[in-house]
Amino acid sequence: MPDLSRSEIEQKVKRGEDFERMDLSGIDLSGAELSNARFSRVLLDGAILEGADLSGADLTGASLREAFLESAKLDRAKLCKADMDGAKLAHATLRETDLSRANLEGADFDSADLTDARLKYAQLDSANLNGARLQNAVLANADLVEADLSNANAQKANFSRALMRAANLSRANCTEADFDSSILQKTRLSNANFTRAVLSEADLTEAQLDGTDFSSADLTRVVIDNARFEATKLNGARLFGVKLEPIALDGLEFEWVDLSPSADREQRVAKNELKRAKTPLAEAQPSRDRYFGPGDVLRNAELEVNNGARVQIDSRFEGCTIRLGPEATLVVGEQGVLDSCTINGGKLIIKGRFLEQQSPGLIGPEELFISSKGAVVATVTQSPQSTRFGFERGCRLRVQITQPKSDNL
Amino acid sequence: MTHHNIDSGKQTFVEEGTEFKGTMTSSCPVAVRGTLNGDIKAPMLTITETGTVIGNVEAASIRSEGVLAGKVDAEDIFLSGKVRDNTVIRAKSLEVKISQEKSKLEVTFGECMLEVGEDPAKDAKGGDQRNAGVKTDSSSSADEDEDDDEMAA
Repeated sequence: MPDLSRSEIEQKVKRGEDFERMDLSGIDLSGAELSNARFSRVLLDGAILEGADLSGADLTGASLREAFLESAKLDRAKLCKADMDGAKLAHATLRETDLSRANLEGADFDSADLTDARLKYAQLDSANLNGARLQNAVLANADLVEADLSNANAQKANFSRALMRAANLSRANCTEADFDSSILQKTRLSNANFTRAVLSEADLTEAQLDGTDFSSADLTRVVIDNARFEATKLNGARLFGVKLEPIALDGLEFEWVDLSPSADREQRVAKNELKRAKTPLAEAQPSRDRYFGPGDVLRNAELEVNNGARVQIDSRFEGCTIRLGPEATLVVGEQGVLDSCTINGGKLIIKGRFLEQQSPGLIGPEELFISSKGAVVATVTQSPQSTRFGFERGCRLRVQITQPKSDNL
Repeated sequence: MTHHNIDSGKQTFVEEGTEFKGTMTSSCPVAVRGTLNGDIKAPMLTITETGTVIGNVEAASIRSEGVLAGKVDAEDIFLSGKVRDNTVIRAKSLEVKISQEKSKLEVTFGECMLEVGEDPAKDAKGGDQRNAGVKTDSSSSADEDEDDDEMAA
């Protein structure tokens, strides 16, 4: 730590001097006036900044591991790519603060104000956001695994594509929030308010949904396998493409739901009509989804999937050829094995195994996402527009990536 | 890499506008904002959006948002930016975030090989070791052609 007194630091801040890369670890600057400080890449590990005014400060890439920032003012501060592992930020104000790609694992934001904050791609796993204010905050692609968001106010917040497995959102206010394509497996959403929220293509497998209010929410193509329903409010919700067993209807409270593909409320269906149908909800409507369950074995088959359709495979496919139309999605579930198969085009989500025999096994996918449990041995010939790749930590790969060849497409 | 200085706060920088050619071995984390052309061995390597590393890379942890090419060995890799042709990446763990915007690529891959985690073919039916069309040729070298530096929008 440099030999600088608290007042010297405050004076340097006032003069607009740059502290870049300075080591201030462990320093006590509680209550200090540090607004607009130039602390880019500064080491502040374990620093005591309780009640300090850091509004507008540039802390880009700074290290604030285990720093004590309770009740600090960080409004409009730049904290992108900062390392704040285990930082204490209870009751801090972070309005319009940029925390994109910051490491906030295990950080404590209890009752903090993160209104309009940017947290894209932030690591927030196991973070405490109990009672935090997150209105209009952007948490797209953030990692919120096992995070505590209970009692949080996340109205109009953006959680699209966020990873929220086993997070706690009990009693959270998520009115009009965006959870499009987010992973909400095993989450606790008890008594949470998702009125008019967007959850299209979200994965709510094994979620606890007792008392959850999804009134007028967009739940198109949401996955709710083994979710627990009890007094779950669904009135006016959009449910096109949802696989909901009739037995689950007993745990739902609604007068009508919307089953129209365009989610324009043109196809209203009352609860008693659904009960009479005695079929899974997804079968009571025109659906382009296909599912191959565990235990099935398909050999040397050819499968064509229409544009925009979705196929999930939890079976074993051997020597099969699968052609996917534009925007069509193929999900290889955790139990799915594709052995010696070829897949052409489409969006691929691999949670199980794909084992190539003949190269290339994956031809021109628009998107290839391999989850933490996915395993792939394949040559991937990219699409002419270049394939969008996503790999989760834990995936196993023996993958050769090649550029597109016209004769493969 | 017997003596790591990760916790000391010290870091070696190759600044923007600097081109380093040769072999670099460091016990400190290394951040590359310029160009490093050669072999590098460090406990931690960060390549920023303006950075380029071409050569044999050995690090416990790599975070690349710039251009990476060559033979890369690491325990843990986070990738965005660009991976050039003839790159071989070997790691215990790899993370690539998929872009939220459909038209945007978070990472652009040239012709390259990824060997991540345990061999998936090990637990295949019958225990057959399968690498079909995937050649695990470790002798590939970095493509030093500068022509493909353009990032896809």
